Amino acid sequence: MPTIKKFCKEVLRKLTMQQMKIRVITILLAIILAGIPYLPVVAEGNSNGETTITMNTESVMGISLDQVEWRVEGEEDVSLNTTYKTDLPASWCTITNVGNTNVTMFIKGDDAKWVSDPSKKWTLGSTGDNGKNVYALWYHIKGDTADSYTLVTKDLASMKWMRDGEPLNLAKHDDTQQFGLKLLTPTQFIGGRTMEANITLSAVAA
Amino acid sequence: MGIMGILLAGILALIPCLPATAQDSGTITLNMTGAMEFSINLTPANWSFGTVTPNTVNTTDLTQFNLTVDSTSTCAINTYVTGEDAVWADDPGAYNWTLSSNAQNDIKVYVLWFKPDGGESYIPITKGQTSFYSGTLGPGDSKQFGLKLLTPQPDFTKGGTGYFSVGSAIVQTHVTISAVVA
Repeated sequence: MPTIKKFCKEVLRKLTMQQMKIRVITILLAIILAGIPYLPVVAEGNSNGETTITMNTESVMGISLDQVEWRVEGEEDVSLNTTYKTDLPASWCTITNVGNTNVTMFIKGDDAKWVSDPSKKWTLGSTGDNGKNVYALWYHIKGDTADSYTLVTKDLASMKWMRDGEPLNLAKHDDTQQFGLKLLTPTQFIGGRTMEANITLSAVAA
Repeated sequence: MGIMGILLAGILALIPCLPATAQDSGTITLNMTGAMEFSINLTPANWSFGTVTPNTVNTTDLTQFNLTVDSTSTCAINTYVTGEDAVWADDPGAYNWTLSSNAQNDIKVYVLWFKPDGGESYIPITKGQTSFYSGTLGPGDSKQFGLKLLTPQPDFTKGGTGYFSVGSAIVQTHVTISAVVA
């Protein structure tokens, strides 16, 4: 029994010493931490001063198109109720920003008129459906969702990517975008007439 | 416990008997090293040259910018100035002007100088450190200076007028003055 008592006392003594050691170390650490702000400091504070310089640039607007004409079937005649695409479906025409203004592209079509008598025409449809003397026109932007076409109507409309609905932009000088056209001829028309329509692409400052 | 008590009593009893060295005063040397701290402030934090055209020089007033050493600083400092490439704020990766290293502009290369108020000439600012003030600056000191900008040559010409590739755009750069203990 006395041996057990002695052993317990020894354990308690060691534990007490251990606690003291921990306390001493804690106190030392606290003193060291408290002393850190007083250690000699070199170059404390703002060692840098910075100013932001801005410059604004002048703007000029301009676009160019590398195609001015699409002869739908070359020297051949077009057929009734038939779809035609430009020979390069996505990159037939290149739009280039020849100015430096960030522009958004707009497009509108027009009725196709008989060159000999402009009063005789094919109406540009507004729904994508063709009909008697009614034709339809679409564009496809290079890089857009495959085989996605957007209808061209007689109303000026923003050219948009089908993939995300974002407008077609040319942000700076020499930026380019390409597109192709698709045409659906009327279900009925009088043959032998050369029909001509104008497609207008406009740039508007974004 | 008994032995320790006897020893302690013995030591205490002997203290008055320790040999005295015949001194009635002592000296304690106290050593302290003052921290070398400083702070500088450059104003204004922003400056616009307004609308600039290609290949033109634009200057600010020579008192436009002010570098101040905080009065609570505890040391003298040496100062250095650096610049950086200017970037199109809307899309920094798409268009930028490189800061010239030889005081010559080019297409997409611009030049920036500074001149201390009362200084004799403009000194080019580069992307490397250039001494801002030849001497040291102490607590409370301040130095005014101006900037001179030579814009890049035109990216393209339209109707006989030169333009940059981005129009109605903000091109932005930074001038930094850094300090070290002299």
